[in-house]
Amino acid sequence: MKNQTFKIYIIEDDAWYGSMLQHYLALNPEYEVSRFESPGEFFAQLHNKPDVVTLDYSLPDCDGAEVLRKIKETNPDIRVIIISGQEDVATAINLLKSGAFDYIVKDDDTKDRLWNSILHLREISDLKQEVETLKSQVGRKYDFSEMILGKSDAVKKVFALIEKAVNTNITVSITGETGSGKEMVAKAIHYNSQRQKLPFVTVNVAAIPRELIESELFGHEKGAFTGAVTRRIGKFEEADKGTLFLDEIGELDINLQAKLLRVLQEKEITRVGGSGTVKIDVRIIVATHKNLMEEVKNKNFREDLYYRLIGLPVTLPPLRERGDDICILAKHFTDNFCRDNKLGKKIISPEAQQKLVQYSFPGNVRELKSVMELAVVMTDGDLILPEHITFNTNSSIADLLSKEITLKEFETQLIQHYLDKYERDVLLVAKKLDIGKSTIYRMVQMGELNIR
Amino acid sequence: MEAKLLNGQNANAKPASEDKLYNLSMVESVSGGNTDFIKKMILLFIDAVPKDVVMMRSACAAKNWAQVSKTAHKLKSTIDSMAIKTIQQDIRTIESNAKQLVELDLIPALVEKVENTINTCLVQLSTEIA
Repeated sequence: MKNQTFKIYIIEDDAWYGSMLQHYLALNPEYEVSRFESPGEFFAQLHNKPDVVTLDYSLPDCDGAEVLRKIKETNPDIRVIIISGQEDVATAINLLKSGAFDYIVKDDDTKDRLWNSILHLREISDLKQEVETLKSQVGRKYDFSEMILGKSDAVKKVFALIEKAVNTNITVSITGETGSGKEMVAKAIHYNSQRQKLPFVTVNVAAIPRELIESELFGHEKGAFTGAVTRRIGKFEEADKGTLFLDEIGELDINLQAKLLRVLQEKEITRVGGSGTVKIDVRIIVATHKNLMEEVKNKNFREDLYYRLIGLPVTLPPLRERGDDICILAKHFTDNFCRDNKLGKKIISPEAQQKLVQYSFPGNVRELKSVMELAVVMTDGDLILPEHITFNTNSSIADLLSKEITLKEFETQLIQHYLDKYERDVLLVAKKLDIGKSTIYRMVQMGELNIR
Repeated sequence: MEAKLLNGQNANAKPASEDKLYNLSMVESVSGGNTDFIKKMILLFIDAVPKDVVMMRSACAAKNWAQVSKTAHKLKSTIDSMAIKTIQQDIRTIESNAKQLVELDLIPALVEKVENTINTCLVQLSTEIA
């Protein structure tokens, strides 16, 4: 932005004064200054999009306020600095209210004030440009085909659903095990939707104490309760025109569920301790690792709210059901970690890949990420071997189920798991598994089980 | 004593500079050291200002006060920028009286004073670029 030419248009009928301003501003080589003696000439060139217009308020046969209005109507992004021979405060205030960036009176200091005003304006433009760039980067960051990696059918189905979700404001309900990327999907939907430039607000319902969640969601008026010393807007108002992501919605207190339902139906909220309502326009995305239908059956979740929230259901597959995606993601996390820590590139050996795909990943993608980061740290060379891959969870039934093994191997692993769990107490394990203790001893003798 | 000193200074300074009704310091500061620009501004003054002065005189004769006020308003910024001090207040009085239609009888004399002063400036300015 800073290297680009900054276009300044001067509208000034006084050729002498206008020439002076033009010359002065053009002393800055980054400025491209043009001068127009009448609004007609100026409007004919407005399509060239000047960055700033200095406007003489007292043009012959024309009202400066009218010219300002027309400029703002054509392109509200063009900044207008009024230069006026009038020292009338009311006029100045009205022009500033109508969108003028600054109001400068013609006197000895005009040129310096104009110079500073344009510098100030450029600073603002640069910052605005920076914000826009960052916003577009954030948008790119959540390009979902880049962020949610994978080629498995299960993931392709998720992509297809996200595509459907971004084009409308439909409520989306995301279910999936912990660490499977529910928030990532919510962000992918928001940052690819028409609301992408507006707020994305996350509330983890499970993380907020029950007594605080109402004011957190809906805000509160001053004095609504002890400690409410000022008025505070809630997450619904914060997310107005954007997206509100309610994570762990299954944990929402049953009493608040009724209030949430009303808010979703009426599209308005009432702050805690307040009497008036506030209109809101919020896209809702909810997520849970629970089976909400089960919760409805168990009377922990309101059925009417369930149907209100279900909208477009997106089910995220657990990592263990995503086949080759595990290797794709493992490589992605390894490369990222190496790059962020300025380490050389590391390769995951086929044996290590085998170890990864055989594991159940109860913590899903989040767990895989930590496993790979630890593996990179443990590796001395540039090859990640099976011994560098450490799983922190105890092997579980799910883990056993994920492997394609024979019944005999399954039996052995199951008994060993119980032996480990019950401190090699053979009698107790035999009882728990309803098998003869001699079966266990025989397997120990054969070297299939370890009780040392 | 003081008068003597001032006289002494006058004797050492260029007479033309002392008599100048205007001051080019603002134009010079804007020029960024570009003498061509200063010359251009002087030529522009010589070309444009007399037209406005004539217009203001004719409007005054025709008692077209709205036009008098408008032209005075336009001349004001140039007069200020050239620091033509002797008529800075007069041009404001012309603009304001003509606009509010008060003490209109004062205007013709003030217009004449402005015109004479500008004419002197024009002569002095032509010597600057000669």
